[in-house]
Parts: sequence; C-alpha cells; structure tokens
Amino acid sequence: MEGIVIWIVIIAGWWVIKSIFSSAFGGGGSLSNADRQELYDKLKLQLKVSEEIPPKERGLPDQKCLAVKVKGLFGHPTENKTKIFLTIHDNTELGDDEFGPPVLSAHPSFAEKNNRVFSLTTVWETSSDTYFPDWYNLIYIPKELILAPYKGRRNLKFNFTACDTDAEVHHSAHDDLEKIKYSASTIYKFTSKEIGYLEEFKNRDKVEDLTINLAMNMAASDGHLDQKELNVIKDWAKSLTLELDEDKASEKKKHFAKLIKETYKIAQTKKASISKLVSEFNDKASKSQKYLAIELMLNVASSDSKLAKEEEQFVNKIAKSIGIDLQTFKEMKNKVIANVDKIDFAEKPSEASFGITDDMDDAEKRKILRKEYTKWNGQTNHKDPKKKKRAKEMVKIIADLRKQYSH
Amino acid sequence: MSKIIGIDLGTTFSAIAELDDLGNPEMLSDPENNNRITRSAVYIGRDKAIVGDKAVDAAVTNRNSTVFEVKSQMENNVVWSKKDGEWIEQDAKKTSKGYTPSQISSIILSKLKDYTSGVKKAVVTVPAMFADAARDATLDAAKLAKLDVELINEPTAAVLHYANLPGSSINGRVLIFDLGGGTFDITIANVKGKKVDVITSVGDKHLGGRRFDEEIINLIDKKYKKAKGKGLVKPLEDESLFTIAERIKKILSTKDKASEIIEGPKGPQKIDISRSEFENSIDTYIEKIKMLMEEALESKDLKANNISQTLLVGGSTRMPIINKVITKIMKKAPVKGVNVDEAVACGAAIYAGLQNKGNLNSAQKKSLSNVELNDVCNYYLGTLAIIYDKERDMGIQINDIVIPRDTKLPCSITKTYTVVSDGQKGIDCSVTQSEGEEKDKEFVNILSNEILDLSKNAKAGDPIEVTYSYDNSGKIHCIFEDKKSKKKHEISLKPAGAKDLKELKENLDFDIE
Repeated sequence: MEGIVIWIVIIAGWWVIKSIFSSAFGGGGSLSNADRQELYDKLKLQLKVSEEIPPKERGLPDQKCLAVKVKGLFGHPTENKTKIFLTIHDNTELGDDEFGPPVLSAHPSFAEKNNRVFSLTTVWETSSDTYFPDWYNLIYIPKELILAPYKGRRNLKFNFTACDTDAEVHHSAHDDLEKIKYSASTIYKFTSKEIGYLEEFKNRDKVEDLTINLAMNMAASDGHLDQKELNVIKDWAKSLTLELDEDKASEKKKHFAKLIKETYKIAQTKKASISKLVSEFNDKASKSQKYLAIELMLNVASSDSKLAKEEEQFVNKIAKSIGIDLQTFKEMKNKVIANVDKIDFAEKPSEASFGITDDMDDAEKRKILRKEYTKWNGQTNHKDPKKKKRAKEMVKIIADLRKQYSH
Repeated sequence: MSKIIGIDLGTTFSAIAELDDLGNPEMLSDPENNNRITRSAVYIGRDKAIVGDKAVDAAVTNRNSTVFEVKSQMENNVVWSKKDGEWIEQDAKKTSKGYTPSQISSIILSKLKDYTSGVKKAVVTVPAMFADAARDATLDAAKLAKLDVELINEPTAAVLHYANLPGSSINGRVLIFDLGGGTFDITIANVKGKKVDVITSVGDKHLGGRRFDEEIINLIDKKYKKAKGKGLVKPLEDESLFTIAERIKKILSTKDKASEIIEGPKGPQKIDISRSEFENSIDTYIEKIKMLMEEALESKDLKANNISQTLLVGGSTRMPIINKVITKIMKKAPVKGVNVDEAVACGAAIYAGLQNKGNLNSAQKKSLSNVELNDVCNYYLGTLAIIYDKERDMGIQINDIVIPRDTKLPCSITKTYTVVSDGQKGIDCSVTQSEGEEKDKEFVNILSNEILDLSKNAKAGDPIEVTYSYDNSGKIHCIFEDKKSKKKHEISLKPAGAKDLKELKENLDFDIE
C-alpha cells in the first residue's frame, strides 16, 4: 500500500527472557520447568488497552480515553537506558501478527515529528531487570485524537516496543528491527465515526463535486443565482487545481467547467434532490471536507453582501444534517453575519440562529442570549465600520428577543 | 501652583471639579448661570462657538450649526457638516469639510476650564469601554483646549468619590452602576477605607438618557398622529422635542403621568404619557442593562449576595424603573446619597490629586494620604497564532490571549509559542485587542501587525517568547523574541492622540462663549 510501510516485528524471543533469567536470578539450573514457566509468565511483556475516564490529576477531565497499560520485563539487556515506542495500526483486514496502515493523531503531542502519524516515544533509565510487576498506566489517549484510516468498526493493533536508544520509527515502522529488544501488542476494537483519512483520499474527487453541487443549490435557494455567487464557486474549484501538475490540472479544470455548467442548470430549476445530495456527501466526506463545504456555502451566501433568509435556512439545514459541531458552525456564520451589508434572518425572531431550541427553559434561553449579547456588544468597538454597524444591530435584535423571556 | 482639576466630559452634560485646599473635591459652576453641570451641546457660529443651554436654544432656529452628543462620535472618522447638519464620513484625503469630534469636544473643554483660572492640567473621564480611537480623540481634544490630560474610566472615578466621602460607610465589594446620557458602565470594585481595587468593568456605549428621550419622542409622534391623522415632521431631528421629552422623563420619575402641549403640522395637541407607557417603550434598553449586570457578576463568579452595595452614578439612575431593576437583580436597593451628576467629576479631581502629589499642599496631601487606586486591564490583549483545530481537522489562525481582561495593572505576562515549519522566514508579531475572549481574528482589533525576521536555520518547534507588559498609564509594551537567535521585535502602544497640533486646529478659530 502506497506510503504505508508494513513491517513485521520479530518478537523478542524466548532466549532473551532466558538469558535475563540467567543473569537476574543467577542461572536457571535449579528451577523446575513449571517454575520457569511461571516466572516467564510473570515477566513476559504484555500490553492491554481499555476505555477509561482518566483520574483528575491527569488533566483530561471527563474525556473518554484509551488507557494503555503495560506489564512485564522491558529493561534493555545491556544498556542503562531503553527507548520505548507505542504505535497503532489498523489491522481490520489483516492477521494479528501483521501490521496494517497506521492511525494518525489529531494532536502533535501524539504524532511523529513533521507528520501526523500516531507515535509515542520516550527514553527511560532502566537496568536489565527493570520490569513492571503489575499493570502500569503507560498513557491515556483521548479517543477523539485517534484518526483511523477507515470509518466504522476497526481492529486497532497497539504495539509497544522497548529498543536501543538510537532506534527510530518513521511512519509507524522501525528503521532497524534488530534494535527492538522486547515487544508486545494487543488488538482493540475501535469505532471510527468519521470517514478515515485513506477514504478521504479515495473519495476526494467525488466530495469536491458534491461540494460544488451543494454550493450551487445554496446559491440558487433565494431564487437568484448571480454572477458573484458563481464566481465564488468557480474560484473555489480553481483553487483545487493549483497544486496539481499541468496535465492533471487541465483535465480537472475541464471537468469542473462541465460540472459547474450542469449543476448551474439543475440548481436554477430547483429540481435537484438536496436530501440525496446531502446523504451522499455525508457518506463520503470527512470532517474537514464538511467544514470546507460549509465555508464555501457561507462564502457564496455572503458574496452579494446580503445573507438572504432562504440562504440562511439552507445552510442551517445542511450544517445540522451533516453532523458538524453546531457551535463551530455558529462561529463560522457569525463571521459572515459581521461582514454582510444586509441580513434577513430565517426564523422569526431568529431564535434558531442563536442556538435556541424549543426544549430549553426560559433561564437557559436567557443565558444563551446574554452570551450572544456579550459577544456582539464587544464588537461595537470594532475598527471596521461595517462590523461595528452590524454589531449594533445584533445587540438590539438579541435584547428584543430576550425580553420575552425576562420576567 | 497648578490647579488640581477633574472633568466629566459627558454625552449630554459635562462637569468640572477642583480639589479644594483641604483636599476635598468641589464642583465649579458656570459663572454666567451658576449651573454645576453644563449641557454638552455646541453651537458653531461664524466667529464664535457657544456651549451649554444657549447652544440648545440656538438649535431650535439653527439646527445645522448645533452639535449634540459629540461623545458618541469620538471613535469615528467623521466631521460635523454645517451644510448637511449631520456627521459625515471623512475619507483618507480628508476632502469632507467640517469639524472633527475632537475639535467640538475641545470647545466644551475650553468652556469648562474657563470656570476658573490657571488650569493647565486635568484628569478627564471616559466610559470604561471607550475604544482606543475614542480615547485618542479625547486626548486630541485636550491638546486643542491647551490641557495636559490624563484619562480615567468614569465608574472608577465615581467609586473613588464614594470611597472618599467624609464618614463614608462604603466598604466591601461594591457595584457601580453608571447610567449617563449616552453610555452605560458597570464596575465591580473592592473598597476598603480609601483603597479601591477595581475587579471588572463592562459597558454599552450606546445606552443612556438620550436614547430614552428618543423613545418618548416616538411615543409623542405616535399619539399626535393618532389624534391628528398626521405625524410630526422629522421628530428625532427636532431639538425642542428632546427638551420636552427630557421634561416628561423627569416628571415621570416622580409621577405616574406627564402631559405636554405639542406643536405639530396640524396644530397643537395635548399629549399624555404614562410611566408604564414610557417604561414599556424602553424595555429593550432595560433588557441590555439586565444582561450587563448579569455579565459583570458572572464573569467574576459572583452572586448578588457577594455585593455589599450598589452605588448609583449618572442622571438616568433617577428613573424609578432603574431602581426596580437593580433591586430585583441585586436583591437590595441601591445606595442613595450623593449627587449622581457630580460623582464622576469629583472622583476625577481626587484622581488628579493622586497623579499630582508633588503639587499638593500639606492638607491636601494628608487628605489623600490613604487614597489608593488599583485598576485592571479592560480588554483582552492577544496575538495571532496557528493551531491545529481538532474539530475541523485543519490548521487555522486564531487569536490567542496573552493578557486576559481584568488582569490587575501593572502586569507583565510571557507566553511561549513555536516556529511552525523548518526554514520559516518570519514571525507575525500582531498585537490584538478585544472586549470578549475572541478566538476568531475577524472579531478582534489588530493594534499592530509587524514582522520578526527569523534566522536562516529556523526549525519547526524553535521557541518564540512573547511578553506583554501593561502599565497603569495605559502603555502596552510587547516583546517578541526568537529564543534561538535572541532576535527581538518590540512594539510600544499608548493612546496619545495626534502629534500634529496644526492639523488638529484646522478651521478652529473662534471665541468660545
């Protein structure tokens, strides 16, 4: 598989343990076979992974994490330091002794240097007989930081290696297997709710087309599909070709020109099935692609300096149905609201626009609206006169709305 | 010896106070009419300018030459056009002819300083949430009025006055409720004897008595139209209606109903307005007041019972509805006892004394010996940085806070950032300011945006240390340092107003009455 190095670890052999036994316990001659087996079982390096909420002192309050625990012997047999690595592979379609594509990390502190492949590396002061007699909490990994290659139920292989201090791992693969002194692995069944990074790569072309299609329908939702809106879509499509080589870029440009023409025609007739489009988009787009699509739609909506009621309604619906974080969406929309000349809210009197739902009690509604007021009131000092004017309007809209819940 | 002066440069009324020989603030009156507060209205004639009630009278016949509420325009790049009778945007080439807000304000300051003689230095008050541009314009106005000026926030000045009242019982954590003619501020402060520690301030720069007058005028217009079949002509531009509205508002502060004869296009009509009609008409503003009170308390994790007293400042606090709202939210009635129109100017005079200790006589020194004021930073100060956004799964530029709002002054805070990529050429040294804790750079003001060049061998992860220092005079000093190469970029920011007095003075050549 391109870009992914699949490697096989030679599990540190029985002889290693045996030799350690000899040095640590003064030779094994006097031990019976049963005693030897018991000692081996006790010292064998083992790994286990389970879902846990970490203790408060770990600084990850109420976060669902994967607790990675190790037990057994891992101290370097000849050096006084041991370099340890933890890597994670997606082994869903492979046997337990193989190594599938690595998972990525959504945070640099759990990633290899200069790339996003998950990796944990540290060097410990050890001696040849250093071992964990009981399960030791190696690390808590927040579940949301794990980016699997594919969506759905995955068999993730966690692999712990104790190595020479000059050992290195690149893209989850050890550069020299000889440097591994001990290793242990375990399989954890993980559910990835989002499209995986390899699927994102595979679906990219289709998702780009769907994004253009959605944006075109959004532009037409207020009954006018004007040139400014079309230009925003064209510019976005053009930006996707900038990194490609000449031939591919030219091919892609032709494709987009045809697609834009077709979707333009369909959008004007308002005959496209939006629910079908959204369902397909939802099925194929990753989280970042979803946000890019929403960003494009908001840019299209504001390109004529007016956020029409139908446009706001359309983009609100899409945001809800593709399952993005509504708070992040609101922040993205606020940016548009702050910059357009004219605003025409979808739901009178704009409650949904501020994230108010029918099931909230008056106190909750008041609190949400006060937070919105604080945000927009702060903007009434903005240097940009357009933003300042919009902020003053928003402050009034919010106060007008809130007074009905104020007793 | 220079006089110790405090000036409340208000939206609708202004006032001046002087520290007397014993170190107590004393209001100065207009020698012409003995009024202790002066209307902030300016009539600009051919060769003279008139300030105060006479300017209001002049507006009835010459509206285009009379300027009201100049304070609300201090942050804007506008000029008052006598031709159009309104504020018009000033373009980069300054082609629009007219008077700038700082020029108009300087006329008011000049008038006030003439209530006594020998005034060279003063402390001028501004709303707590006044924008930097507005503070700059106020300093420009002072320069034009030949005043060497320090600024202080209005509610801070007011609490200084309250704390220094002879035999003052003000103690503990207090809430200062400052509702003036055009702006509304809330400050929470700790008061212990004469020592004042400001905790937080919030405010709305477009809320005050003048807005309430507008709502009364709208009610008058509606009732006139109902009675006569035709409404009033441009009622919100008719200053005589504002005078009537203000009168009605004052009557409704003590009575349930007010009546006035209104002259309109279809002849005179008696209009009655009840207190409940008036209170309903301003309910949007009242809601804003409630929200700001809640915000002030919640931002500091305080409940109403953590506040010992609510202190009133500003003429609009005389309205009964304000008392009702405060009593409901704070669960006890506000403190009455000082002249709410004068507290800010008096506090400013006390602050002027603190700023000019070398010029005080021994009695003044003794009087102010225990007075202490510790203020806080009213804004978030930050810089722009790139972070990985987990939710959107992409790198985005955000505003990262360096000095949080309400940090005690003076302060100095250091944060460490890192170089993003190998071979990066420079670091964006942006200094941002916002009232809210904004992450999105769209919603912050960028005060400065300069570049620190990195060394050629810059590597991803190299530390960049950013230190912001903020002193009591409002000076912000920022250092961006590449720890590896030791290269530094320093930025100093302080509201100081324009430097070119000649440019400021353009068109401004007349006597002030």
